[in-house]
Amino acid sequence: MLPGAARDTNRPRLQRAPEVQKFRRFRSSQVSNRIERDSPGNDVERDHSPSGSGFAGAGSVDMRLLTHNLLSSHVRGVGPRGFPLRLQATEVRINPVEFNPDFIVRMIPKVEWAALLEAADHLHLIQVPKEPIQGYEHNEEFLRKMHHVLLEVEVLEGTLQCPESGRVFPISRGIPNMLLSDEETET
Amino acid sequence: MAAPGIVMDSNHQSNYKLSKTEKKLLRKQIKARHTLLRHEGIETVSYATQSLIVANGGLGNQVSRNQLLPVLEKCGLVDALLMPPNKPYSCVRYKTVEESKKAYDTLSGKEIVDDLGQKIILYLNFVEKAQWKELGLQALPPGLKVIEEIISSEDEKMLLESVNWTEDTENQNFQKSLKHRRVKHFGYEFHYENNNVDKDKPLPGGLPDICESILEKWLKEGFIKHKPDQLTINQYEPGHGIPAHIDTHSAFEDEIISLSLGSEIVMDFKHPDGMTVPVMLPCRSLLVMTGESRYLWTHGITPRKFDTVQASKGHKSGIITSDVEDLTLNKRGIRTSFTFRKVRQTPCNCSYPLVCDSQMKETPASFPESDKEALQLEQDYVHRVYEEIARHFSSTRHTPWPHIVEFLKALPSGSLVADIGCGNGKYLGINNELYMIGCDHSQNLVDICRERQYQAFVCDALAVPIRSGSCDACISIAVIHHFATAERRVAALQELVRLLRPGGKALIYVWAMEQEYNKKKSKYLRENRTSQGMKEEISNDASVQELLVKQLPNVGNQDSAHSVSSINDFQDGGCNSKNVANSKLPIHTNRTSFHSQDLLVPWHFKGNPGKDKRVEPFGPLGSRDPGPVFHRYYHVFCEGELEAACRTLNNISILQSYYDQGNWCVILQKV
Repeated sequence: MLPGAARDTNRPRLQRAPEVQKFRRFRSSQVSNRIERDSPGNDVERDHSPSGSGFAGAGSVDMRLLTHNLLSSHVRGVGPRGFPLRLQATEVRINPVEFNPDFIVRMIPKVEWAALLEAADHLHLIQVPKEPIQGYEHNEEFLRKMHHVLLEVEVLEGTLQCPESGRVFPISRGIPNMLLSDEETET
Repeated sequence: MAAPGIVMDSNHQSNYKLSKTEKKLLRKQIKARHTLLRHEGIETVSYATQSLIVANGGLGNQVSRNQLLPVLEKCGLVDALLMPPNKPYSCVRYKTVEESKKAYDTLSGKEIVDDLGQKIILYLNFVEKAQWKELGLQALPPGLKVIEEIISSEDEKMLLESVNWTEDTENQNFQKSLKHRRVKHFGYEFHYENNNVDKDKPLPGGLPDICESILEKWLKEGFIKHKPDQLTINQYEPGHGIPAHIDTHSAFEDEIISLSLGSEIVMDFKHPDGMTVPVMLPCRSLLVMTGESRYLWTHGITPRKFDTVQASKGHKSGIITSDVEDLTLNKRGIRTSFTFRKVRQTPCNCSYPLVCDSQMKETPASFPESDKEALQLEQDYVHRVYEEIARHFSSTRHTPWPHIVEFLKALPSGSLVADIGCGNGKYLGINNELYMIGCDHSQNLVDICRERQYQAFVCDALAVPIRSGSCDACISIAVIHHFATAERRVAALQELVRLLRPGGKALIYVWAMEQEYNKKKSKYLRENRTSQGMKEEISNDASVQELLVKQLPNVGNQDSAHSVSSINDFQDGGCNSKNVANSKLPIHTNRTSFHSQDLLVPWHFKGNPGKDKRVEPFGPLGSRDPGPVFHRYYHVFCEGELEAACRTLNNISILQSYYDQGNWCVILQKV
């Protein structure tokens, strides 16, 4: 159970409720997407290979918002104005990740905050403070919130749009495709 | 919250204690609400409305319209039942709120039996509005026709009875049991290894007599323009299918026709832009593909037991639109198709050169003389090959190299690290204290990374979409040697440095020309055919040699050698590769020393064909038994060459430069 989850009335959507953690897929592959089928063990697509970046959990992992925060458009000539990529999502999922407060503390200074605010806003996530709050290193509620936004929210389907050139990059099955044509490449 | 008429809570917040089953139902219902919101963006409401979402009662769960509708109608007059394709839920709108309340009260938790005989429990929740975004009306692919009832039921029966599936393969008509269907060939045998026919070897007997007369009739009546000379009979049982493909252009003429017998089926047509048009092929209908639909669109049959079809049209031909008020399921029967084609005797000259094997330029893999040629070489002999061999390649790449592991483990906790050219992601999970992201040009390799729960995306190493100065470290393992000019190799290094913050470090590995260093042979040379987990294979067997000669008649002819010094001007020392360079790239013999710096390295594909996702309709790289050989372009580096290339970059210092098992390696730091 998330400490602070009950107190926080500021969350419009996409709350992490303990009973919904178990199933994450509600997609269309014939029989395997029944709602009552909630145990990860039932999911035949699962591959229990070793987990990445220290975050345990079954199944594949799609684009996280921390990754989005690092991405920038690279269309010829846009330079730093290619950041941040405008994120639109048609399919988002929550993939629980083990909470590591030290890790989050280290990540926060590396995050471009405005870009994160914009992305969280586009996805209608819980409210992210306008800037990292004072003394966040010891504020577990804040760190858990950021942990959730940065690492647990995943975009399965959607687009990334270059704010300068308008070029749209697809996110399909959790993978952004950032390939450019020859003309678009910065040389 | 406590609005009048709330249903959900009034039912369950009474004074009496909930029974175990009631609790379970409530829990499941809440779960369904969360799932609908999170994954489908459907917001349920806690007060009664006219409309309900019926979770689990969907086409995607094998629940068909004619099963669900009567159940719903027991509670009142159904205004509309929307069943979106492939979704595990549907949406029902009743005439009045009272009726929908009744449905909510009586049907939540109700068990029904699906089309496969399995029990399914329905969970109902109110929604404000029953709606579904409509996709635009689609049209049939240009050049495609479906002619219904082209033959009589008697002829159908006769044709089906004429196919003898039991005769042995010794017989003249070649028969095979493929993974997802049974096939038989007449006129010419169709070879699935190269998706072509042997034009010089017609099968004795030609087409069956019974077909001859039918074809003559179709010609006379104008349904077809050419008389086919090849017939493939496929039999699909429910659950069978055929992967999306374009019939090889050079193998067959424009018009391809297919007669559906025994049962109807839905065939999916896909445009290269991604548009999919599902088309119903009724029993006894003839599908005629010409022009764009034959040359540009792929067609295939999804292996499944039920097709989503339009309820109002029954088994009539046409496209399956996404009109959710009118979709239901159709159970497949055994379908036998007679596909007639005319073998092409001249190269194809269609207007779709990008997908035409006749018009595809045979790139002879010559030494690139311009940036454009380099790009093309990398496209054909690097990107394309990795895409093809991704699964097999990944299965041979499991052991991380110790020095790279060491580098990653030594980075401070919380470092942001990018692996540019991450392949199957074998370094992305080495150190749990890092946030690692990977990228690769190959979508298939990135798919593998995602399955392994890594953050990865598809991009080119010369244009990495990561903001400048954001990375604490980067690695580039076995990537730079795939760039075909010195300029491009330097540009790739430059791109790595751009990503680093000041003080950030990059580790770079490239393959070395010197596979024997300090009198020690590299692992690459030492490993032999029988060793476990080997990376490449010895290829001195006759079949491979023969293939090489066929593909590259100029191999070994070094008379036309020209100097490469103009492009490789910083690699002065020690290498005698200059006089080896030939306008045609030499092909390397696996696990031997290199004789040229720029070369093609064979990859002996051993696929589990079922596991490999894509079936390529044609392959210029050739596919011959025992398995196709793919060639990857490499520029192997001489001693000092990588370091020299790094020194041309600004704002860096080289921390280490070393040799590791046949690779040249550099660790640099951005200043």
